[in-house]
Amino acid sequence: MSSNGPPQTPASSIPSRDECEPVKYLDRINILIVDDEPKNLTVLETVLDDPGYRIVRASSADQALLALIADEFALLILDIRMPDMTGLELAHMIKERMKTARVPIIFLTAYYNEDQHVLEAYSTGAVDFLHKPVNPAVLRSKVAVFAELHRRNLENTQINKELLAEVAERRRVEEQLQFLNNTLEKRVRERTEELWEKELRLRQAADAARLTYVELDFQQGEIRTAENFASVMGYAPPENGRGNIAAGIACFVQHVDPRDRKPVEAALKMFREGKPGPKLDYRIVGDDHRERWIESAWVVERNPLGKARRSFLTNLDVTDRKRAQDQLRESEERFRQLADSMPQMVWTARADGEVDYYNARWHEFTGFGPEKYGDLKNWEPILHPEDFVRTVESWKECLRNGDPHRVEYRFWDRRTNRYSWHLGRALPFRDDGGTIMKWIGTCTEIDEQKRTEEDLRRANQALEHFAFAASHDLQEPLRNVAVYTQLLRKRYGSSIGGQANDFMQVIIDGAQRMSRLVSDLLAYTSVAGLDREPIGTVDTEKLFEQVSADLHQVIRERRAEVTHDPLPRVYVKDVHLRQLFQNLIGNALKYQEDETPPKVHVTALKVDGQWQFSVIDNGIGISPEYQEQVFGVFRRLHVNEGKYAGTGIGLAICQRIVERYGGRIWVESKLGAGATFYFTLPAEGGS
Amino acid sequence: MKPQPLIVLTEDNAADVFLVRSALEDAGIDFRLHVISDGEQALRFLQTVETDESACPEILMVDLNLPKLSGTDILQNLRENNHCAGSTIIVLSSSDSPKDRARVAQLGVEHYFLKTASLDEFMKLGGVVRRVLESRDERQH
Repeated sequence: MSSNGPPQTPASSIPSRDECEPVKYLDRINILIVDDEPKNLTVLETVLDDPGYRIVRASSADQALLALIADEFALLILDIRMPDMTGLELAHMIKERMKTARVPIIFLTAYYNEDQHVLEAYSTGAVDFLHKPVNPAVLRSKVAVFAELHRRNLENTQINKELLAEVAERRRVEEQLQFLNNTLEKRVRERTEELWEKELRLRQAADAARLTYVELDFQQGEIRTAENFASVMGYAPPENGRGNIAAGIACFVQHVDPRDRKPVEAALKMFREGKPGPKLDYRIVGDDHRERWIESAWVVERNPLGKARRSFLTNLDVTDRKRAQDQLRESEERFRQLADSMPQMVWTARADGEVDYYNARWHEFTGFGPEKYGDLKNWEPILHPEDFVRTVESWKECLRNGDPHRVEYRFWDRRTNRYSWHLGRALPFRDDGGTIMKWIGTCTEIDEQKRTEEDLRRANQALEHFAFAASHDLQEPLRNVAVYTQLLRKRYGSSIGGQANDFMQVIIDGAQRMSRLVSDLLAYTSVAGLDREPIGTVDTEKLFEQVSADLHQVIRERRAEVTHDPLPRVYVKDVHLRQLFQNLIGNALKYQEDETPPKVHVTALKVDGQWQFSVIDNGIGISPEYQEQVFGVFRRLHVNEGKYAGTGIGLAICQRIVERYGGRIWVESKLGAGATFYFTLPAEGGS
Repeated sequence: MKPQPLIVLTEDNAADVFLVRSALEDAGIDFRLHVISDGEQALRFLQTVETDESACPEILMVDLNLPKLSGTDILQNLRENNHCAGSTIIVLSSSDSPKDRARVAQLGVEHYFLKTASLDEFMKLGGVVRRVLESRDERQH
């Protein structure tokens, strides 16, 4: 490998020191030789020819400086004497530059007696002097030394650099770690606080619910109990809540009520083995000798391989709940005993309407039992098909709005093999807050009544039809008799003479009277009708005016005064009230002395939720012993002719009307001092 | 007054027919009376008026108690088919019941005459008919 001369690279393409790779110490080292004589340079080159050296030539100080900029040199061999700059001056310059300050310099000099040069040279940092001509071996060995030195230097520098880098790295890592550490600590602190709070809340909740827990750690073979264990369970766990499993369990079993030991022990076995199990209720007797009901449940935590790691068990004090349940059961028992001993059919249903009980009597009658609990629709087989839908709908309505249930329906009676009418009722039972808790229902047989009612209705209707038909059929011939006798008398009366007219009059009167009786009888029977027409409210004052208008002729003739106080609205049929007033006012006008103008006054007073009317007159009055009789059918107190003629049915009709509405009619009077007729009728809105 | 106004009377009781005639005569009315005394005749009458409007009477007197086809049935038929809407209807009835009165009121009856056992009362029918005929004449003019 021969050197080719001074590096010819242009300045711009000279790589900087930093861009170069660190020199590996197996690379060649650079030696700069400076001499103005090319011959000398060549000699030196030859002497120093070695694969480990790279010789760089410079023939002037300038060239030398350029070369020094471009490369790093292990050694400089300078000739002291040079044209533009002495070697010494160059050495100075070199030394001044930091970069090159430490490069060793060997001076070559031709002059022997230049001691002052030697001193000067050493002061510039030269490390050696050599006299020309240079002994090649000496030169080589000196160069070798410096080469070696340089190499070591480079090595050290490299190692240093690497060390520094490592240190820097380490420091960085340390800083990061420190930072992470800090943040970690902060997070841990926060989490811990959170957990603390959670635990506190849990504990508070558990205490309030009287819930405690027990943890079985299979890995450590330990039982751990919560702080509130003693307050819930009534005894303190052994080893203060952190003890050995067997001891903990044994202590527990000791406190379990002997009646419940067996199921508890069975459950315990599962718990210990880390097997899951169902909830368990049992009694515990605490150290304070108090009995408590405890409900326990547990979960098992397993590791990924399926082996039980932990069992976590909760104990809940359910004493209150149990007591309440017991009380409820007791009261239900008592109720059932009562219900079963009753002769009536009784059933109960839950608040949602599902039947949950039939008493013994019910079972006897219907053959039903618990299999028919539930929806009321289950009654279908025993209800009359016409009543089924109606009953169920009415029940649903009552469930919705909480009203008492009341409905009439037909049940199939197994004993007589026919349908029998029953009255079904149900009442809701509420708790203190007013919420419905239960329904209690009864079914009472009303068949006889119902049939009687039905018969009565039919009989009445038949009677009405009969009366109607009869009256018409009776009226016609009567009319004919009366009218034609009158015709006879009118056309031929004068020619017959004698008592014929009187006789004819008798016939006429008889027929007419009979006719009147027949129509009154019809009026009387028609009042009784249990018709289903709806009753409305009547404006009594308006009706009064109408009746007065109808009677206006009589009123005018007799110069009567017919007045009234404010009259209320009543809940009756228009025709009935009309008849009442017509009869009573009509009577008041009729039963009066000729000379005295009749005075009639009508008032109304509310008594016991009903309206009590009074019809007060100033007529002839009625003696007390007849005051009941007058209401009898066809009962009269006077001869049926003259001014007090009548059929005797008017008051009977009034009585019938009033009684139809559940009211009363009576009279208070003194003979010769007028009479007051009282009657009561239901007020508006009543029934 | 229109000469010889036509009056149709549904009445099965001959005695009552005589009385009606007497009452009308007594009132001095010159009338033509056509009597329907049973259901068959009634049906024929109804059929006739379907096609011949002139067969409709000035006054239609209906006794409610005609056998087989009641007076109300006849009235209902006329009303539903809108025949003889121009005839004045007088109902004769021995019933004074409000129910009966109400029933016929719904059928467009203007007069309800009660047949009582008094001759004098019955004779008033004549006056009623006379007034009806007079007011009909007035309306037409």
